[in-house]
Amino acid sequence: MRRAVLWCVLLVVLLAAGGGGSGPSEIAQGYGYPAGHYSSAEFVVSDDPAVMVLSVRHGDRSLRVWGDGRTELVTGSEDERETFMRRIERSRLLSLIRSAVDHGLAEFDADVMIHEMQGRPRDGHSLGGPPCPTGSERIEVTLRLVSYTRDSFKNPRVERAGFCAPETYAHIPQAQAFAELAALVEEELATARREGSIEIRAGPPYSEATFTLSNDPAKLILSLGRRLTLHETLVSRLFGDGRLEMELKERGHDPVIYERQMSYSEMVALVRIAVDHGFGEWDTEALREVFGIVRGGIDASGARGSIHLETYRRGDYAREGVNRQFRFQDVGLAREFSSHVPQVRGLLLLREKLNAEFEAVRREGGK
Amino acid sequence: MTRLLVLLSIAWYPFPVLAGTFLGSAGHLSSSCGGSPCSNFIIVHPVGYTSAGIGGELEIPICIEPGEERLLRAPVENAIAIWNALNPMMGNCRDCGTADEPFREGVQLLDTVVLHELGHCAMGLDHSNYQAPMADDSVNFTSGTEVNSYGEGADGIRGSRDDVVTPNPGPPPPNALMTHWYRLADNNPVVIDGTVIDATTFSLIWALLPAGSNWPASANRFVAESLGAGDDTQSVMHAAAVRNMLYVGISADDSNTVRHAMSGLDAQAGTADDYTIRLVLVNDCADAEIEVRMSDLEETLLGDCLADVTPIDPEPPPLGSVHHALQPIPMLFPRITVRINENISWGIFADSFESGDLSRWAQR
Repeated sequence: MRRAVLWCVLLVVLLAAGGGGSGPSEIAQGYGYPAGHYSSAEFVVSDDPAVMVLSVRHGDRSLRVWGDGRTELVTGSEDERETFMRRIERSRLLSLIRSAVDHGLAEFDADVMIHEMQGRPRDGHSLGGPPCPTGSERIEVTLRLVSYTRDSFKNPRVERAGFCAPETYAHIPQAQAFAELAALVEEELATARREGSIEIRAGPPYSEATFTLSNDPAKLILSLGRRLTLHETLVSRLFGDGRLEMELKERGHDPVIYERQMSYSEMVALVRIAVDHGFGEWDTEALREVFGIVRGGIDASGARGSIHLETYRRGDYAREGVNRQFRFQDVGLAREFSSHVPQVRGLLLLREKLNAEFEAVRREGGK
Repeated sequence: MTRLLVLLSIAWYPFPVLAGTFLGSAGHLSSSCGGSPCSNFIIVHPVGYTSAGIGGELEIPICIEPGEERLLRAPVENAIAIWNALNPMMGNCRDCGTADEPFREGVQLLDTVVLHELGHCAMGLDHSNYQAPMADDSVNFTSGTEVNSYGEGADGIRGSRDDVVTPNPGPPPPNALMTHWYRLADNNPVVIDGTVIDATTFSLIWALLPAGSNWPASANRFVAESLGAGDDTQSVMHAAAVRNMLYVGISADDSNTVRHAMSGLDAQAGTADDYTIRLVLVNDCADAEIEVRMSDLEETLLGDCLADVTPIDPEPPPLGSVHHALQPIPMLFPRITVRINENISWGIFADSFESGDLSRWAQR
């Protein structure tokens, strides 16, 4: 309750100062950073879907925004996690980053700031900012700009900054930025919970493809194996009659099979995710050469699967009896460095959808 | 067919036998090894060891990501001390657990993960146990490639010498291949004695396994117990995310594999190309070959090692290079990088290694 009151007080202060993301505030005066100190800065934000331009992490909540506005929201502990995919409009994204820049976040230096603003010895803190009583109070922000210029300060900024309990430091402009971004996470999370994830379609070229499926109950249509948690793996298999089989293997236990019957339209929609993202034309060698997505870190967790289509056609490319095996050696690395690759985005969507199917069946206790 | 391939290996390699499991051999680095798939028959040396094969002390500078020293310094220092000592021990694993045992409550210990990841990134070791390819789930059987199925053998212990391996069906090659090096004399991964480790005492050749062995034994705690080393001895490179598990040292399996690489390009101990490894913690990452950092990783992993290997044989054998050295993946990071998952609630065993006092754990 006390925490909520502090946040409200802070937001009132921000609004009173002309805040809400519109510019620097008067309360910066007196700490060597007069109002408008940073607002002359010019910066460029990438619109590349592969570039993560902003991430905010506060306790067990995190928000990540890519250049095309795709936004991932995650909350919950490692054992119980909620994930939402949303999109932030470009103009809003730029406005959010403008506010952060106006508050000096792009030039954030915890040591210098603490030294100058609070008169504490520079050795008293690590570069990561003031120490937090608990990890959950720390706000971590990554702001990734293509370029940043303010007077003689001209450096492309790739910043990762951490801060604790900004309400305690409301007189520091950067603290306001941290608080604003933490509030943004809450706001976006509330919207996502209310409205749910949005479907992010792949678009051309693969989404123009048409395909047909076998209706043979014994015929495998789509499969995907991956780790579900640190101690569980899940292999999902969709068969021609719409049966979705989910084999859960928990460490030290025998596998458990869960099942769900999908309608034909659900089945097509699931396969459509894979087809829209190029899995019908999967070429391991080409993808390895061009994107390096097969290469992975040691200890990484990968994903492997297959797709089987009776017919597939996209423009002049037409095939019968398509059988494609696909593998991502390191899903995390692919997500981080190759999210511009349609197949990577497809894998993430497919995994999210199949994980949701599994969680729904497991919640219902069905097998 | 496996025997045939093994015999061909004997005939073609300039030395009949060369040492656990090295990176790349189990297929993790399938796009590496100079542009072609890695053979299983490889030895991986630390970053900086070159085809010149110059022996002596190989110093490897390691840094911690700026801003993360408070969390990472003690675990990194502990890991460096353990790997530098290269002192195998029995009873190295507290609250020990394996890949085949059920999940348990507790916390993941940062010290354990940093030690394991530096085993990959600094020492060139891969996992000693097998990871099923469909979903990367680890099991206690000893590592190998092109394996269709494993059987526990008569002793009912996975990872032991009598395990029965069935190769993948299909036209050979490839066939089931060993990736775990073993002691020629006894295929014992936990024994500690005065054996000098080099090509005369270690092997990766199936046909040379001692009587009673079908596959190399690896040091998981059940195998260790069956060999009289107690159920608290285990290879640091055994892949398993087990809460509360703390390694206070390395096993003979870990030490032997590193020592085998340290016998140099000629794989003969006591020659000029032998080297020793000294990991050093430096303050400036610009001076480091390896960086340890906290990263926003998927919830399915504790940490990872981003490294590649490059062949360094002066004259590569016909079946492909044997000797490789670790190197960074420049398209990802300028240095070899250990990433620790910042989304995990880590337990930190900051000190008390000497006393073994577990009561001083702290949680991040």
